[in-house]
Amino acid sequence: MSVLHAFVAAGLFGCGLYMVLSRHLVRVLLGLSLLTTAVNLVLFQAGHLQSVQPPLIPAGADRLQGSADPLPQALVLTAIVIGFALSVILASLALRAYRGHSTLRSDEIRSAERLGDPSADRTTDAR
Amino acid sequence: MWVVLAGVAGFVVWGFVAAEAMPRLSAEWGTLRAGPAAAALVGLAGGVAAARARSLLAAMIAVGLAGLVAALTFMMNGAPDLALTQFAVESLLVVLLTVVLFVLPLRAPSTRTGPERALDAALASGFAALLFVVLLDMGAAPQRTEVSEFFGARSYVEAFGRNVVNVILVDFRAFDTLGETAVIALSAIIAWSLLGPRLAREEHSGEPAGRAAFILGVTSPIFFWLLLALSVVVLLRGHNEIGGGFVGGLTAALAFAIVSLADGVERARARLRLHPLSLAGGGLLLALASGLPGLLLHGDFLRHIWFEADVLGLQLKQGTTLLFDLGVYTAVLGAVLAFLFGLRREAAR
Repeated sequence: MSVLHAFVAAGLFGCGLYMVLSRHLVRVLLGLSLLTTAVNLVLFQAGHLQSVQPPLIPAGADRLQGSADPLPQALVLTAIVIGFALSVILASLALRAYRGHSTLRSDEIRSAERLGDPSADRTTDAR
Repeated sequence: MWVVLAGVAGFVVWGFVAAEAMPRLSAEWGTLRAGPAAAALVGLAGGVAAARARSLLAAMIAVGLAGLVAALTFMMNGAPDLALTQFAVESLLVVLLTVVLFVLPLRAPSTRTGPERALDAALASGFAALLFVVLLDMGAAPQRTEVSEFFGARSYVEAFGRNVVNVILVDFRAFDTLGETAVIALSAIIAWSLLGPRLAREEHSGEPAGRAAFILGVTSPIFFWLLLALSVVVLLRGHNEIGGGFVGGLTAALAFAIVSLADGVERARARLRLHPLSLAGGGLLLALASGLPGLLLHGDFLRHIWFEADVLGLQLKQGTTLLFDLGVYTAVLGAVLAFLFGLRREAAR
């Protein structure tokens, strides 16, 4: 079972990576979202998925017994929210790029290259 | 390029062999449960469909499918907090990305030639294979549970909380959560500066003020108040049962998202009455402030103080952890609303 989860997480990671390598900005965005989902699954599997009982201390007890590992869950919780924020920031960047350049292909956005070499000497026209 | 790829792959394999660190395979395989196995495979199919989709809408739906399957995996493996958060995040992602896709062209032909695609596929498969091997090795390693047992043993006795995940986030590792709340608040500032302010001149143009659809228009006020009340309940119960600041903030953001879908952004902003950045910054400030009583009384920042009170025969016990969680709730709500309002107004131009 853990082999299957490992296979699925690795497979999603591969699909996300393939999409991130695209030159279309929205494909990059969706690939990043897939990547964060895959990595959250990877982090979650650090808890070894042995128990299906949630890490809640039951009413009569005062410690956890035989539940799922709470520590990877705590790490993944914030990772999910931050991955979501990252995807939305990238979506707004793509939207601004489309408004500014009328294209979503990264190889057609060349306005930075027109400005020339940033390390060139600019003392002659420092204005 | 292919030579480089083959060389790197060979080098990695040689590295494994030379360091005598061949990945171990776990001896026992666990029982195969049909439900989670089927769900996991559907998720993988969603990922492959997203990679091969020609239309952006299909790719977005496939990515959402993979995310929902991740939520189901969390739910079926004893992580209800994670499942709630992932479901809420998927719903919000659909709402926000649909706004973006209104503006962008949906047809997206492939930007890479055939050989480039094959190379990228080989690269991605190589990394995925490496990750698979690493995960197998991780699964076979002996499980070190000392830290988790430490938290599990002290969560109720010392930190007065039964939801161990929430206690870890809000009490034991509160400083990490404070950093992450700062990241969320900063992302709100980024989104607002990318999308918001330049529209001051075009305040009244763009979106029609009419309602979107009859059923949605009639039921959206009910859903708004229901979801808002639910988000407060989720926040308050987080310390002892499933819930917490993150899920509560996302649920409250969903309430505003429904109003913005039904009545438009201006009505949603009017209901909010505050600037979303004020919410995000105020939440961060509140989370910071909740650590100050500990600093003043004990000399430890973010050491939470607990108050016990006997009010009308009821035993009330509350601590600064609720203030911290409220700060996280407000920061997440402010950030998601900054995204939502900014994107919808940018898309309406």
